[in-house]
Amino acid sequence: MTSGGRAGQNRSRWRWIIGGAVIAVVILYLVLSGAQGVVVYALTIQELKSQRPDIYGRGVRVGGVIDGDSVLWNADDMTLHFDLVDGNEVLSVTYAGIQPDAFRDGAQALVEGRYRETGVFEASQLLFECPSKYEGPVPTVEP
Amino acid sequence: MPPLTVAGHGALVLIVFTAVVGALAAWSGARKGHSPSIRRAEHGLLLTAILFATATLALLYLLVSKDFRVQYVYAHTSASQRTLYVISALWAGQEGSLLLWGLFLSIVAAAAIALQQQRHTAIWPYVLGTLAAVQGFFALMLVTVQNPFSVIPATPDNGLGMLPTLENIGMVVHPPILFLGYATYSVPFAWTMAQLLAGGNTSLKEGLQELRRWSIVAWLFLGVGILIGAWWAYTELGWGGYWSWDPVESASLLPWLAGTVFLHSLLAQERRGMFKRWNAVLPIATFLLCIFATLVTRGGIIISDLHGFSQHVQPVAYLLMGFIVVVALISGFLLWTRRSTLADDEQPEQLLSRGSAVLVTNLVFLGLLGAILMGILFPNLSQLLWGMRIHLSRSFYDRVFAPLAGVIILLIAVCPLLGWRRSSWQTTLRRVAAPALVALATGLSALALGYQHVFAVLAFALIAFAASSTTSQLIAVVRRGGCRFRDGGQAAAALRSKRRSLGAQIVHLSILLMAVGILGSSVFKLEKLVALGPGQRTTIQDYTLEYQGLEVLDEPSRRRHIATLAVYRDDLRVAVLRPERNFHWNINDFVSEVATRSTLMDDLYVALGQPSDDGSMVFRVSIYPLVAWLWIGGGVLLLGTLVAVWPSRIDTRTIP
Repeated sequence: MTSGGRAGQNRSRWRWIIGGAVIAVVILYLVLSGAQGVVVYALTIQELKSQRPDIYGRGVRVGGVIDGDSVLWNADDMTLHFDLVDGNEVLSVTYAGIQPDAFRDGAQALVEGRYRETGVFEASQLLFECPSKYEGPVPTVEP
Repeated sequence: MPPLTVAGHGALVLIVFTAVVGALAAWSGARKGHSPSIRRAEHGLLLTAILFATATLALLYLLVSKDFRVQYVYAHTSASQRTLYVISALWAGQEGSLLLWGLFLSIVAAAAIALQQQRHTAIWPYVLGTLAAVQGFFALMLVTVQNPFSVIPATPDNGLGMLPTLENIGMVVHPPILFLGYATYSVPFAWTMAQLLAGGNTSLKEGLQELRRWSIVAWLFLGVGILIGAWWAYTELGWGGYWSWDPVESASLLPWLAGTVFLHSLLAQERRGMFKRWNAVLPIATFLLCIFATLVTRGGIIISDLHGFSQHVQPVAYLLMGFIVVVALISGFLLWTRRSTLADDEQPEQLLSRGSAVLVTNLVFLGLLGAILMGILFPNLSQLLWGMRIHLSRSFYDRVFAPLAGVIILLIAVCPLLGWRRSSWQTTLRRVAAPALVALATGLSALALGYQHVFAVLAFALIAFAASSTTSQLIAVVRRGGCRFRDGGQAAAALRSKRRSLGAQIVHLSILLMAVGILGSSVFKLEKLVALGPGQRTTIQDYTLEYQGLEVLDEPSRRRHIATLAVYRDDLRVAVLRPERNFHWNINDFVSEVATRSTLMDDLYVALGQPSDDGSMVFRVSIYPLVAWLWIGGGVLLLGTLVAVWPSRIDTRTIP
């Protein structure tokens, strides 16, 4: 049996609470200390443009369709340039990396990165509709 | 309608009824202590296993025979698909994977019945009832909103086939093992629910051994499943290396973290009667997290980059959420009413004791779990609270994970050195002296070798500290024994305890190996983009790569572009790498296959990009140092767990 009985149990309970609180505080501190670099807002192109200049430099994720005619590969600095289109809105995107597999004209894409004062969106990540649940139209008419 | 679909669907409907009958029989058997009712419940669960097997085999046959009248077969196979991937199509889609989950649940329950030695305990019927209820729920989902046997009115000539990225050995192995892990956790869940349902007249010592064994096996399957998934992500381009903190990935880690906490607090309960309340909550939480992981993967509530952006909430999500809520409410209520029976025999008092260390370990793991859970749910929470979706980027997870992982490694080093009740500072310092010296030596040699990355040097020193401590523990355990005991029971217990300790130390060592792999490949990763014409070379670290040419091959399903690169190191040709970028007709898109050269020191990883206008090809060349140790660590994890859980002949003869 424990030595200290009830007093011992109360002491231990406090230890639990303090221990848990310490860890929670540490995590919170870690998160908040770099909140700018950690948070990514999901916006449409329209929302992105309407939130200038506050939105410059913040982590953002924007969706749209790739305009195949606008795709340019700059061989000197190894960057991919293209336009992302959403309705009437167009966003100029630049990406330092090889063309991802699903990248093509008309592909639905999410670009994640930061919007710069130059009006160009610097993408750190390009994400595509990766349909592992591939659902196509189901035929309903007898052949 | 194809007869097999009728048979399969019928089997699933029957499972719902059998499960209900079985649960009722178990309930009445529990209440009245009526043996025939209990046996009826057991037979019911054996029947559900047969029925699940029937349904699964039916779907499998329909897949292999490529019967495109069945919606599921149409959606996941095509005429030209290889048989191996036709089989893996069984778990490629929502309906099939839920069916596999259900099949494994029923197999695991049947195994639990077959292996159960004591049927006359008060809680056994409740275990049966819980297992039956869970299976009934899964069958209900399969019969209502996730029907694998639905038929389409027309008969298409060909199916849609599977995504080429899924035609990989990873797809064949990763989901089944993961589901096996999830399903196996249903047994500890059922045991714990049973203890709560049975009320105060049961001793929590009942079934502790079985609980431990099932939890370790489930934990092993889950861990190995996650690692195979990471390996699969690593070898398939576009999935961000072996871990990208994608919601689907992170969600599968949650039950593993909870399961790890449970294993440690279970040990504390076995040895010192501590943490009884924790152990009443953890298995339930772990199983609910498995359900949650399925919800994240298949529910459409949480946007996952790995699974597309569809924000369409699937009907199955409501059922899964409902299950989680109902079980949480029931178990919460039972825990509250039974809380007095869950008083600990002993509580950790001294700071410097193994009991306290286990407590700290648990808190750290739970902190990590909470942070990851928050990260997964953050977009939904932020939408609810502030009206806009905010994601937490990778750096959030990395920032939380790194220091907590460091603390865990420290605990691995120190915790086994402490006595359960108390340890003196002198003894402890004496025991850590040698490992500390090893750590210092490691840190200094790293600096001497020119590494200047402070964090990495400290981290490697910490790992060395833990590795040295763990190894000395291992040696001590192996040396232990050869003592005389008064009776066979004590000798058996000693052997068992020795094997468990040995297994635990090996598992700790495997975690350290994985830590080395993760540290090396994240902190010291190198990457460069380069355009090469035929005959041109590029260097990265110690390697020189020479682009030798491109081959174009036409195949029925795709056009392959294969680049050949010769790899030199110190003027010696060490490898030839052939990354590919292939155009698949059925999806009208490219699929890349990376080429890697693995050594114990590093992986050279080459991806083929698009061609440039001048005829040169763009390559992404990366170096992942020490990543092989991540996979080696996984193998050691498997070994250590098997050592810990392997039943000895002596077990069957002695009293637990």
